Amino acid sequence: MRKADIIGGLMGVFISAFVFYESSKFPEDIVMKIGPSYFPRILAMGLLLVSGILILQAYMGKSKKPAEKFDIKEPGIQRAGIALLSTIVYCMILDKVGFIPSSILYLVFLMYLLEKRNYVKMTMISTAVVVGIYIIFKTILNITLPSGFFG
Amino acid sequence: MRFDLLMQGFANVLQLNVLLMVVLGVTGGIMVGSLPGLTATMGVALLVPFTFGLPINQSMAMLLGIFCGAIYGGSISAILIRTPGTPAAAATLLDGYPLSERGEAGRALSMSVFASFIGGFSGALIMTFLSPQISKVALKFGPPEYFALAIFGLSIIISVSGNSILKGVMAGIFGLTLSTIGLDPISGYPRFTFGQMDLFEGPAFIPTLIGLFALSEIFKGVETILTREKVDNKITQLLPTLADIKKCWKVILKSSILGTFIGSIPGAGSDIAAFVGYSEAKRTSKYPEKFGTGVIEGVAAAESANNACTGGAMIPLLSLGVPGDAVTAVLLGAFVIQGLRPGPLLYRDHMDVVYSVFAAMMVANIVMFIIGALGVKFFSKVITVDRNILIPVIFLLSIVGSYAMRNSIFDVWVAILFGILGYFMQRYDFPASPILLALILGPMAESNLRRALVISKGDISILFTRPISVILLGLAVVSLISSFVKQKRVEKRLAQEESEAAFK
Repeated sequence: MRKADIIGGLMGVFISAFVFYESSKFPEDIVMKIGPSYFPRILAMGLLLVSGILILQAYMGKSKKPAEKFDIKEPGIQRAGIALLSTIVYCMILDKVGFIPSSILYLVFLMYLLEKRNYVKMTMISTAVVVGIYIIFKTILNITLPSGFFG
Repeated sequence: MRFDLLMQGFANVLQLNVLLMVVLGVTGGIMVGSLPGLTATMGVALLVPFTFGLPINQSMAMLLGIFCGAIYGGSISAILIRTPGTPAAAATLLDGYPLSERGEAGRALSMSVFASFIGGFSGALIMTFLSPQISKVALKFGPPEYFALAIFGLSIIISVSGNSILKGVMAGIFGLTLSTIGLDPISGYPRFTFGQMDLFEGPAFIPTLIGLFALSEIFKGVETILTREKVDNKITQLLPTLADIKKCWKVILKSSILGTFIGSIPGAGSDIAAFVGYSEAKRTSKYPEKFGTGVIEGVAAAESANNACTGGAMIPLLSLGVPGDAVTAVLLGAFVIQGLRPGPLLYRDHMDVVYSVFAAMMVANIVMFIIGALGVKFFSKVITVDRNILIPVIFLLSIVGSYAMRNSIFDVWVAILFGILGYFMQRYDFPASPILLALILGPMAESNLRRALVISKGDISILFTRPISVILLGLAVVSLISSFVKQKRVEKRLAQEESEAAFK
């Protein structure tokens, strides 16, 4: 947890520094002196303070119970990573390939990732779910999903 | 309260197409609620996108149905497989599971649906009578009071969520900072947008929410591959027996009132209400020592309290525009999408909508009772759905839901980003709900702070000289400090127990 707290704190410091830097470019309100940068800067100061305390606490060894280690070699973490990657790929092809085919592929892949091996059943369930969602959105809710080249 | 408007509200809700939405919402809500790992917040977040295209009456009816159904649904898995489907049902399993171990699952489930109904309905009634009064007071609020109210709401959610107040505060401030992304509410200057048009309105609420509360959960969900749950209990009883009702009615009434008031405190959610209701029933019982071994009053107390909480949580949401918990924060987002901003002005300008919400809330509870009782066998099967098929479907729903609101892939990236953030936050003990509330309360806090300072010509003391704002800010400080002290005490005790254990 200690390392995580320090990283979390550093991210807070970074964000607050970024807010200070960006807000220096905001136009000042000449009359009121309370312009667009007023509130973000108060927040940045608060964030800096809290992050500082968090880092200090971690440094002095006062962090809470150790968390599970984030071990990239662990199969569970790897599975989460692959799920994330496949989600990113899915979103990138969604517009081009179209909602129905890309979604079916995506579902089958995720089920495979979760160690399902009955391909016929997987494909059938995926197709049913995807077509169901498509119909609900398109006909009942009037929301169009990307149709891609299957139109 | 105005009776004529309430009748009009009922007339609005009791139309076939609206009722259908209530039924769909309640059924969906119970299913989501009963599935462990799908919280009510996640359920509402995933189902909100399905309501975008609907007219306000239908979409509100559906959302309220989901809300009420999900809180009840949590008790089904708590009773049958000892896993609360939602955090709100954690108190239900204390007596519910032992009952089901004795083969009395039907008795526990039927009491649960009955108590949920009475609790939820009382909560809705109290809400109908109370929130117009509160909104009258709130109509007199000026900018300093609204600023104080926003800070108060945030402080409460920080003090009840997570183990570390420091990290809660950090999440809260981070959320407020996120809320400043986009056009400045007063001058219209684009802030932190990196020149992206998509960010002019800030990070879109629903995608952020889906990322933090749905995607993050399922990233965690794929870490372990679970086998299917088994439910052995045969359920033959749909309604509680008269003897059981006689035994429980006092507990149910007390819990309903307690639950409503706890729900009405911004930040205190249905999980807390359930535990307070449960321990109050235990304290006043003639046989407190039997609680935890399968006492039907235990189930009744916890379930009536957590469902009453739904009505309670709607009070500050509707009358002040400050959500009572994470789920109502999502509902607030859904209102805003429909072009309505909850708060005292809603009572002035859209009375019809307000009273339709009251009516819908009551109808939703009645529908929940009917569907919950009749469908109990079906819902107990839902629990056994194969999670390794369910999780991929939730992934898909998360993406589709983020995309649907503005037909924008950009919003999907926002959701994924917050999904990653939420995953790590959860792992390292940073609570996510302060971010959600901060996103909603941030603009309210900022614009009112700046308006207040314009009124006072830059003198900050305006915040500390008006009675209501002083009280609210004072309460905010007190709630943070007291939960900090409480936390220290718990830590001390844990450390002591640990060292004692080491000596043995």
